[in-house]
Amino acid sequence: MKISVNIMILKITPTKQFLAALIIYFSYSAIAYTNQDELINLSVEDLLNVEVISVAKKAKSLNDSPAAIFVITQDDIKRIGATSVPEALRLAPGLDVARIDSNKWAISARGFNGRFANKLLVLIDGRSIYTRAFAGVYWENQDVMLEDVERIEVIRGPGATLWGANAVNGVINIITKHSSDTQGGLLIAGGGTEEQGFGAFRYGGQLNSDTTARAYIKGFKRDENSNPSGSEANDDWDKVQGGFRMDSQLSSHDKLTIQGDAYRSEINQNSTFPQITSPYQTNFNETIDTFGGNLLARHQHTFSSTSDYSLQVFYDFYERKEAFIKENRHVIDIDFQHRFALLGWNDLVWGAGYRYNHDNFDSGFGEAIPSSRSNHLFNAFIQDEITLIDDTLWLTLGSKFEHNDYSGFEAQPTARLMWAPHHQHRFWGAVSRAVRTPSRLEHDMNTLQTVEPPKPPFQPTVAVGLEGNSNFDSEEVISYEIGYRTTFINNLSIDFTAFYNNYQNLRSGELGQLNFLSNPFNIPLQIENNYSAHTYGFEIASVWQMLDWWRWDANYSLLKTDFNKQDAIDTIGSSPQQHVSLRSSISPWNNIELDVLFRYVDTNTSVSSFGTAVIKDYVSMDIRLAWQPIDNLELSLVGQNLLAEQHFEYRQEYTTSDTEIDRGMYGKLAWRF
Amino acid sequence: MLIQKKVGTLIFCMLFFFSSINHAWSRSVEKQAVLAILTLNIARFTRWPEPVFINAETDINLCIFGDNIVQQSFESIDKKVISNRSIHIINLSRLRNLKQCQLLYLSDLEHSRLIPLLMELQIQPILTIGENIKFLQAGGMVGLIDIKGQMKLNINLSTIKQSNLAISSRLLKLAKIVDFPILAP
Repeated sequence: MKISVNIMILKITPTKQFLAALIIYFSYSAIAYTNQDELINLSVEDLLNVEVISVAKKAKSLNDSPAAIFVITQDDIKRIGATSVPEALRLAPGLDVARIDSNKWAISARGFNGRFANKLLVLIDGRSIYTRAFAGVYWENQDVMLEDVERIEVIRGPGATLWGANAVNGVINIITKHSSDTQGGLLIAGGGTEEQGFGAFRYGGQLNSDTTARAYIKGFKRDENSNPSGSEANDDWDKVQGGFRMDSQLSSHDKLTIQGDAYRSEINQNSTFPQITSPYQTNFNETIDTFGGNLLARHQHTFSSTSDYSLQVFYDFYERKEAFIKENRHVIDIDFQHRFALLGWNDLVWGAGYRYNHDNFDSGFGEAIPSSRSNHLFNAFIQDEITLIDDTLWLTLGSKFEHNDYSGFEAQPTARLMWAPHHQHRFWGAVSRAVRTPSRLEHDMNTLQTVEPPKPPFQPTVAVGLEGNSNFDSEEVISYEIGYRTTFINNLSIDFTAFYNNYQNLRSGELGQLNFLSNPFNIPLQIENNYSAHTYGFEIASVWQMLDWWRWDANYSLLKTDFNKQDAIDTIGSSPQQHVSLRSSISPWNNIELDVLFRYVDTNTSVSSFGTAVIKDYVSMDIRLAWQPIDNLELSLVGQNLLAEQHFEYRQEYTTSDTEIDRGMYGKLAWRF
Repeated sequence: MLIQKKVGTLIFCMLFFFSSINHAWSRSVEKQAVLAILTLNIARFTRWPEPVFINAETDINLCIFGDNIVQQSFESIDKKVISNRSIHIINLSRLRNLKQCQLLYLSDLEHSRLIPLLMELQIQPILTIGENIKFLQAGGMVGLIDIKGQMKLNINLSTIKQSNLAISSRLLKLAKIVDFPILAP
């Protein structure tokens, strides 16, 4: 099997040398794997002396969750040379990650992408980073010490039953390492063309016999990209962030985690806003000053191996000053969860939570009325995993119930079935309902959307004003998913998921009556729930450990979107139909790593206040070469977006100019002590 | 033609180079396979108290709590006979019905669940086997720990004695003896 595939890859005119090389090559390959039957005859002493390796773990590991889950490991993040969370997320299948400019990203699963994408819930160590302001994530405000991330779990499809509203199309869980796993010092330094300079320092220590902790500080300066014309786009930015985590084993039954972060960032952007006087729009460079922080405490108590509870409290704060609007927001969240086994065939988890949001908006080009609001969110959930056949078949039933100040009461149930007939095969299916609750700005915003300049002789100036609607209701989805995972061929794993999503009450913009009494004439554009859509498609993720030291990761996803109304595509846009990624990871020696990542992204339709843009498909390539001259030191060289000098990925919905992403190179040093 | 020859030479050099790397790897073995066979050997050198087995031919139940890779690696030792008893592998996907196990192999269980589990099992005649030092510190009995590509056998004697199990001195000689009592509640 292995041999035939190898020959296929190396299909080059066979000269004599080539044939000779092949023979030598395969004669070595043939003895590469020691037979397990031979091992059985070894004595314990001999077994303790053999050199062991565990490289094929990722290629053969099958996830046991009845959901479309993909895990990005610390090793993956390091080996593709990711310098931000969004770059790491590019590894996940079915996730559309588009870089709008140096400091903005559009990230969504299974469609409906945008800078203000609102159907993906994101958590860092259990803290939701989804903002109520626009029901999405300010990715530029979110960062972690990437070297301290244990893994990122990317769940496509609804996850609302466990994680709550807005987990409509997916959930991203960023999980950092326990502080006992980050002991000692780590110094990172580097720089290059786009990543102009970055550095990080982390130190972890033992505070007493039951308590470990770490603290970090990091910073970077990223260069501006280019306009389509090739001139500078004024989107450079810098950031400094620090944080800590402390884990304490209070007793054999209790543990406590306290962690927090704080950041400050200066973000440049080129903004364009409509105005009612000639030249009817204004364009300027601005610097957004943004800062924020969070503090989280989690207490976990274990009653027995099958029963525990956790109580988590966090506070999160941010402030952003933009020409569009100035915002500050405080969030306090309390969550309780209890897990226990019942009757030997039920694993129950239930919980309840409360979230308080307080915001303050100062008007710029946009305004929020009222300018300050406090909101309360209550939720409770229950989920039962029922074992139908021991170690083979499970049924999971559950629902979340919540009450929020914008759309009232919501129920989000799910039913999931998991079948593991053999250790090399997993089948699962799920039906779920999830809602995307309204955002603060959808209810309370007022801004000038566009201005039609006067056209002689008769047409006067007409202004279109975007108006929030306090009756705007939740968007909802019923989602059907099936999946299959297998490792039936040794060293190859395949994870396949197909889905059909039926969306109702999607956000639409409805033009109102022309008001002749205002000056200039004004047409309100009101937010309504008049669109519906269905999407379907499939995703494949595969890992092939071709040789002990050579791994391939290949992902493909297909997404089809059908709207009920033709004009919906001009309001919502449409995400790329196809994504392909192919990654080769080679480690010929223990101290050398070479990774190459190819990505193909299909055309997408981005909608903005400047109109609809069809963005061309593109292929990009990243390469990373790393060398570890001594045990604690790693030097690496990374090239990003190598195939084109600049390429266009996404157009933001409002105000910022089109920006193309530049090719970049950087070098990095990581020293552990 | 010349170019072809150059390409051929280049590929020859590259493949020769890679095959020498491959050769370096070939002396090593998959860790999971070694773990399974070490577990079999540990079973061979363990004595359970009398009432555990109904008669001299009763199977030894080896329960595995781990992912599909761990499960697969233990397939090779299923039905292997040691001193008239054959090993019977039971793959557990949930931590239930543990009293049927004579050996319990725990691969990668969260620390917060491991501590109460080992506490619950402490006087049961079940030999617990794990893969890291945290497992031993929580009161686990046998730790098969990978230290820079070599498996080290660690045995926590006090907890083994507490469960009325006995391990042959032939095995103890090859092991590092550690002493981590079960944590008090």
